[in-house]
Amino acid sequence: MNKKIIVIDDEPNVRLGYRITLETEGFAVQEANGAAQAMAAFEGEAFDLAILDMRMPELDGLELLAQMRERGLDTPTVIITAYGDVPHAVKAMKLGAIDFLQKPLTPEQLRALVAEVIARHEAPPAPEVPPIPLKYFTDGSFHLLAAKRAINNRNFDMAREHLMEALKQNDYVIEVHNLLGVLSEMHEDYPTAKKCYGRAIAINSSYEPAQQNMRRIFELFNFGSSKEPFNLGE
Amino acid sequence: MKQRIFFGLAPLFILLLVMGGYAVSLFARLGNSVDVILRENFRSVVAGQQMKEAAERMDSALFFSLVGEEERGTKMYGQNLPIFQENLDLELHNITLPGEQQLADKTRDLHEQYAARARIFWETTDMELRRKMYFGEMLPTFTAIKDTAQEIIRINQDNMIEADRQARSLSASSTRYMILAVIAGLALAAYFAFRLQRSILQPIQAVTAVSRELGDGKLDQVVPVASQDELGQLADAFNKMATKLRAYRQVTSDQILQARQMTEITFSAFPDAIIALASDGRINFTNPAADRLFHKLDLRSALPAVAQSEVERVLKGGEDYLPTSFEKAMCVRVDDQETFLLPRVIGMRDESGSLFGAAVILQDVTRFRLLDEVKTNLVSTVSHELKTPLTSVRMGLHLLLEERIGSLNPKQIELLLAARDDSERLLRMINDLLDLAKLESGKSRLLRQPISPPELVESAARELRDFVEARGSKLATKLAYELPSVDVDAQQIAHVFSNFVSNAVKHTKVGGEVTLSAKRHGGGVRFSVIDQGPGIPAGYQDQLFDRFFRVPGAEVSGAGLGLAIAKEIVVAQGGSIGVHSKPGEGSEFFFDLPISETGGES
Repeated sequence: MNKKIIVIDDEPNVRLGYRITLETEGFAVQEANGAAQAMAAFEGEAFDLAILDMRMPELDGLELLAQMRERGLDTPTVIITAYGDVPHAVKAMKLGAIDFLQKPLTPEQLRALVAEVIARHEAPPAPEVPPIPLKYFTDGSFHLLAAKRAINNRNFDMAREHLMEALKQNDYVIEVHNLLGVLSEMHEDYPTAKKCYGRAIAINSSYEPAQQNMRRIFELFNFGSSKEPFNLGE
Repeated sequence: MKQRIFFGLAPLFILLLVMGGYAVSLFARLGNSVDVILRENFRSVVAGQQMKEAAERMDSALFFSLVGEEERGTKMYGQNLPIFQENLDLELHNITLPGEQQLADKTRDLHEQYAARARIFWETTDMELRRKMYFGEMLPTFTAIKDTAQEIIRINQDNMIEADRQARSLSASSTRYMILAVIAGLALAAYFAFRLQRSILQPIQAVTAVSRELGDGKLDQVVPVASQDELGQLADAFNKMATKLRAYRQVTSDQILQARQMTEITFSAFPDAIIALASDGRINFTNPAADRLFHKLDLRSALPAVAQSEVERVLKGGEDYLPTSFEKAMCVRVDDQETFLLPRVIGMRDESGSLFGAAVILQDVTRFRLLDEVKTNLVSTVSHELKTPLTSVRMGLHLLLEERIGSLNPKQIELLLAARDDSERLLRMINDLLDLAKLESGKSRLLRQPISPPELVESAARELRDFVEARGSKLATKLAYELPSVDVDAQQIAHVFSNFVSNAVKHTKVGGEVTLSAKRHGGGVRFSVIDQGPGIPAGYQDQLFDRFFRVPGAEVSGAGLGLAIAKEIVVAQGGSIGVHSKPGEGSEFFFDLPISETGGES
């Protein structure tokens, strides 16, 4: 059965682009021009994934996501941001959102991220399931995947455990350090968060999400407030 | 002055003269009187002796004749009579004492009587008569003569003794008088010397005292002109100088007053609060804007806390506090409105550079901040509004070119590829504009940390190597040894490297080399990107870092903002940027960064 995706954006032309991109991959796509249409659609049926534009006229992406979570809708969500309005990430992570794409995006980027998120939630619940190659369990990517899934499901303790496991297996995955940093920050453990971002940057100094997080934490302690949002990595 | 000294010393001369004269006359009197008395009396004594002796001889002569020695007696008498007479004459002309005249007269009378009798005696041949005459008349007369002569000798001798005694007593009293006179002379001399000293020193001391007061700024002092001599002229000249000084100060203080008034008027017209502080932090001056602000904020003439801490830092000799970013503005409520004040603190130094106070300017930047916010919002809005249509355009183009929804003929593909390239270019331009706007508004805060230059270069090389090699060139690095750390935002510097390298690659032929280097330069570190491209004509090198500038004839590839952004980044980090290039010899784009204040050798 085809996976069902809902695209929520106030721009019809953008929705068209997303729809065609996803339909060519064989997904069933439904469009919504805003919060009202989206909520109505959720009444009728369940979706495997929501693509949500960060900036919309009436209710912005995070507010809509908060409403969805309030109604018990656990739909995994990809958030589309524009330069300058990356969502505030404590909010975003608390709502289980860690997958972002920045406008303007290409069909390949959208397909790749959608495929990753869908696969994440289809993945075997535990490592003992056999047909998966051995490497998958030893290079930390299984635990990273499991951690992301746990964050999507807002199970942060489990996410932390998986991230720590992933770290044990492979210390060189930037994303792991970055996500651990955001988790630490969520628990207001700023020194650990700073250390995590530092390690991520040490691995690759041009890794944008960790750079932004580090910058924000730096500003938080040097200027008292920051306009730089959390960045959970795309 | 000469007169003063002369009149001061003249009494001393006179005193010396008088005393000298007195002493000379005294000694003369003393010597003279003794001498005359002794000489005259001595003469009388001698005459007396002679007379006595002659009288005795004459008496003996008479007596010889009585005993038969007629001839011998006559001869002896004849010899001594003139001697007696001669000495009697002497005595008669040497009368010096009271009573001497009578004695001399008596002697003369007795002698005349004796001589008359003697003539009769000699004429008498009768021996008996002669004897009678001798014993009856001659002998008593002789005895009287002898006694009288003796009396003359005695009074003269007595007088000599008396004169000697008088001379002694005169000498003793003279000594006493002389001692008294010397003491009086000394006292007088001391008095005159004291007067002389006072009359010379007093005017000089007066000038000295007034000079001191003048030095202390009391210009209305006058030295009394007591005389017409050199000291008086000095005092007069001094007073004239003081008058000129007074006039000069009047002019100067008028000018200062005028300058002060000008400053105050300018400051009162100044819309921003200006506060001048003394070196101990006391407020010396506030302009009306500052007074209003203090009043509205109910600050009771104290500086707002943020400014206060900077003032203390500057007064301790710190650098001036001249923030340019509105982020440093402090927010206060004035008349129920949020007002943003940007404090600036400038140390006031004299010519020798020592600090004597500080000026605080509280610039009202509320409007600028508002504008800044409007600009930021505008940027964000434009970003969203431009990027949303661009998203659907790009997405559509990409989808069509994928040919998953239908195949395209070559001409359609060509058109769509051109459209896709331009949509990418449009995106780069929008991103560049946003970067620039962000950098300019200061929103892009710097994450500055000490980092070693090799680390910066190696990290840039790592990220850019693939990009360079994909375009058929090689990437090399060249690092000097022992470079000190630099204090920079590594991500932004990476952006600059990326911009330089992408330019370099564009102008380097396939197979060429792009070199990243770091070395000491001046007080900092110079980072360069060197290419083997065609170089840039000298005429364009200055404009390269201007916005929207493109070397005419160069291949169009962007908005011409890349180097402008690079410049903004480097300048924001306290560095400078530039290019060395010669047509045909490639180009070196470089930026110099100051070394870290805390960082050590890397």
